[in-house]
Amino acid sequence: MSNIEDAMVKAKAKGLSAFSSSKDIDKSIERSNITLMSEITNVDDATLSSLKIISKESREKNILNEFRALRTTILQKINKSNACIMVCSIIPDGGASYVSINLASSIALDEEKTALLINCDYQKDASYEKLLEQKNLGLTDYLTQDISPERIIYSTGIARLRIIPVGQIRNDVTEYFTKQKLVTLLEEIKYRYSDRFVIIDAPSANNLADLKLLSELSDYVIIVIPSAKVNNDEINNIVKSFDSDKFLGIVINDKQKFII
Amino acid sequence: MDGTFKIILNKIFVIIYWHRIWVISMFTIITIAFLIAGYNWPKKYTSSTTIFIEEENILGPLMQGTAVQTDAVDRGRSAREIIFGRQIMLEILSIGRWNESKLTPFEQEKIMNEVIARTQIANVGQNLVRISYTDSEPERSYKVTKGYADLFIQGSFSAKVLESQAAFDFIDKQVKEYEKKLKESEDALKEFRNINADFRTGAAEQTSQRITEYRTALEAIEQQLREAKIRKSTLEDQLSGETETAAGLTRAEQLRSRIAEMQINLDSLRLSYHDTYPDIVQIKNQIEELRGQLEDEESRRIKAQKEAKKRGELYIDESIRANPVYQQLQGDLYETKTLIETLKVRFKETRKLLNDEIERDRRITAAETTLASLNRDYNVNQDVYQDLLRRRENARVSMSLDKDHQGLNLSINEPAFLPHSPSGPRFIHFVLAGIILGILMPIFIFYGIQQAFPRIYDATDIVDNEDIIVLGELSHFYTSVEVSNHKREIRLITLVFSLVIISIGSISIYKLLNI
Repeated sequence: MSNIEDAMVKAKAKGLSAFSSSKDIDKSIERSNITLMSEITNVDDATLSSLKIISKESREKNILNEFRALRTTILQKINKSNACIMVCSIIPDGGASYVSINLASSIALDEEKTALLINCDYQKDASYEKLLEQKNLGLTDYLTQDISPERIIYSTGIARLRIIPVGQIRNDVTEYFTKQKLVTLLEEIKYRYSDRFVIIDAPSANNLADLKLLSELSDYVIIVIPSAKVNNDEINNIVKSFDSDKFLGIVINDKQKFII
Repeated sequence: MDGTFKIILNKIFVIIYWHRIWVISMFTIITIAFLIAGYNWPKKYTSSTTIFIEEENILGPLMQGTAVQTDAVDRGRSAREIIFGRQIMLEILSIGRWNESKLTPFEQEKIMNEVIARTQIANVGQNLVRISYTDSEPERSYKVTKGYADLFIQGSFSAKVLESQAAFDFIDKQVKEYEKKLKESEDALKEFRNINADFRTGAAEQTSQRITEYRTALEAIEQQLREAKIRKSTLEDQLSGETETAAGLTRAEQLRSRIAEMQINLDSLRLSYHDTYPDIVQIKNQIEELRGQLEDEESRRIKAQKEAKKRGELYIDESIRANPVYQQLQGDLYETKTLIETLKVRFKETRKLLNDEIERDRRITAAETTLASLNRDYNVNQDVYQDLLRRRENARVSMSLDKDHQGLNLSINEPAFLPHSPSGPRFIHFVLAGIILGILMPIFIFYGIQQAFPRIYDATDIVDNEDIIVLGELSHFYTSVEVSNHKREIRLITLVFSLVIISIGSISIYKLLNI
C-alpha cells in the first residue's frame, strides 16, 4: 500500500471521529446569537490576489478549494467553536504568514464564523498587513503600553476577518509574550464572539523559545512544511518539541504545479 | 508494480520540475560539451587484413609417440610475438615514415609502443588471424596494415625455417647422443667378451654336461673303490687260511717223469721203427743223459744231507716248495692294494675336476647375467638409435620443405584496404550521446539526491509516523505577476532547449554534409 493511501485511510478515520460530533457544532451555531461585526468590504479580488489572499470570488479556484479543505479538516479535528490556533513554519519564509492569513480568510468565508489573525512574527513584515489602512499600533504596543484592545484590532476589508498587527516595537519581544496581559487579551478576544477563531502567525521554528511560549498560550499548533526544503528527521524533531495534544498536524505548502 | 512505477515517474517529474533551471543548464552544458568533444575528436581510420594460417607444428608429428607434444599454439599470440618483434616494428616505422627525422632510441621506443597500442591482433577463426591498425591518416593506416601482413608472412616463413632447422638440429643431437651410447654399449660388450674369453655360447651346457660326467665317474670310482676294498679284505682273509709252502715235485722226480715220458715215446717209436732210427737213437741218448743227471742229483742230495748233518744245519729239501695258491692270493692282494691306491688318486683328481667345473659354472652364470644386461642396453640403444635415424631423415625432409615454403600454408585471406570512413565513435554518436546524457543525467542526479537525502516534496514523502498528520497540501499561489514570470521562465527554458537542439542539429548536418 502506498503512502498516499495510508495517509488517506488515516485522515478518513480521524475525520469520521470528528464528524460524529459535528452535530454539536451545528447546535451551538443555532443557539448563539452572532453579532455581525461592522464590515467594510472595499477590497477587490485583484488586490487580494496580489497579496496571495483567497476570497470567495478568487480566480485561483484550486487554491481556494485547498484552503477550504484544510479549514474543514482542521475544524473537524478541533471540534469546538472558539479556538486559538498557532501556525508556525519549520524554516524561515516557510509560508506561515501565507497559511495563517488564508486559513483565517477561509474560516471567515463562513458567515457564522469570525476570525482574528494575530501577527506574532516580529521578524519580518507580513504582506497581509498591507490590507490595513493604518497600523500605528500593534500587539507589542499593546503589551508595553496601556491601551485598550480595540485600538489594536483592525478590520481588513474582508468580511469577518480582523487582524492584530505585530506593532512598532520589534526588539526583545520574547519578554512580552510571557505577560499575563497577553493571556488576558487572548481570552478576551477569543470569547468576544461565539464562533471566533484566533490564528497566531508565529515566528519560524528556528526561534523555538518564542514558539514554545506562544504554543503554551494557544490551543492548537499547526506546522507549515515548505515543499522540497526539509526532510523527515527535521519534521520529527520539531513535532517532538510540541505537546502532542496541541499538535494538530502539518501542512505541506508551496507545492509547484506545472502551469503554462 | 505499475502503481509504484507511476509514483516514481510522478516523483521524478516533480523533482525535475522543481529543479528545472538546473536541469536545463545541465542539459545545455552536457550537450554542448559533447558537441565540442565530438567536433574535436580525432578521426581514426582502421584498416584490417585477415591472414589464413595453416600450420603444423613440425616437432609434433616428428616426435609423435616418443615425446609429449605441447598444447596447440594460439595463432594470434604467436602472430603477435612475430609482428611485435623489434625487427618487424623497425620496418613498420619506416613504412609509416615515422623515422624520417633522426630518432633517439627513446623516441623510437615510444613511437613503437604507440603503434603497438593501436594495433590489434585477434584470432578470428581456427586458422584466421586478423590484424587491424588504427591511425589518424587513412593512407598510413592502409600502408601499415599491409606492411604488417607482408612482414608477418615473411617473418613466419623464416620462423618456420628456423623452427624446422631447430627441430632437425635437436633430433640430430639426439642421434649423436644415441650413437655415442650405442658405441659405449658395444664397447662394453666387447670388453666383456675379452675378459671372459672361455665364455662361449653353450658353455653353460657343456659345463653342466661335464659336471654330470664327473659326478658319474666319481660314483663309478667310488663303487670300484668299495669293491676293491671288499676284495682286499676277502683276499686277506683267504690268505690267512693258506699255508705258505707246499710239497712239490723235486728235480729228481722231474727228471724221472721226464725219463718216463721219453721211455713212452721210445716205446711208441720202437713199435714203428728200428732201434737204429735216428729219433730212437736220440731219445736213447737223451734218456741216458737224463739217467746220468738223475744219478748226479741223487748223489748230490745225499751228499748235501750228510754235509748238513755234519754241520748241524737244516737241510731244505728241494721237493718242499712255496704254496702256489698262497702265492696266487698274495699276488692278488698286492694287485688289489695297488688298485685301491690308484683309485684313490683318481677319485681325488676327478673330485678336483668337478669342483673346478662347478666353479666355472658359477662364473658362467654371473657372466651370463652381465651379458644379458649388456645385451639389453645394446638392444634398447640400437632401437632408439634406429628410430631417431628415421626421424632425422623425416626432419631433413621437413626442413627442406620449409626452405621451399612448402610446410606452411600462409596466405592473405582478406587484403588490407584503404579506409574511407573513420572508425570509432563519430560526431553524430557524440551528439546523440550528449543529448541522451543531457536528459538522463540530471534526472539521475536529482533523483539520486532525493534517494540519498530524501526531502519532503509532498505528503507521499512523509515517513509513516503516527504523530504526524498531514492536514493538507497547498499549491504555490501564483499571483498574476508570478504567473507571467513563470510563463516567461517556461518559455525561456523551452527556447533554450529548442535552441540547443536546433543548433546541435544544424551543426551536425553541416558537419555531416561537409565530410
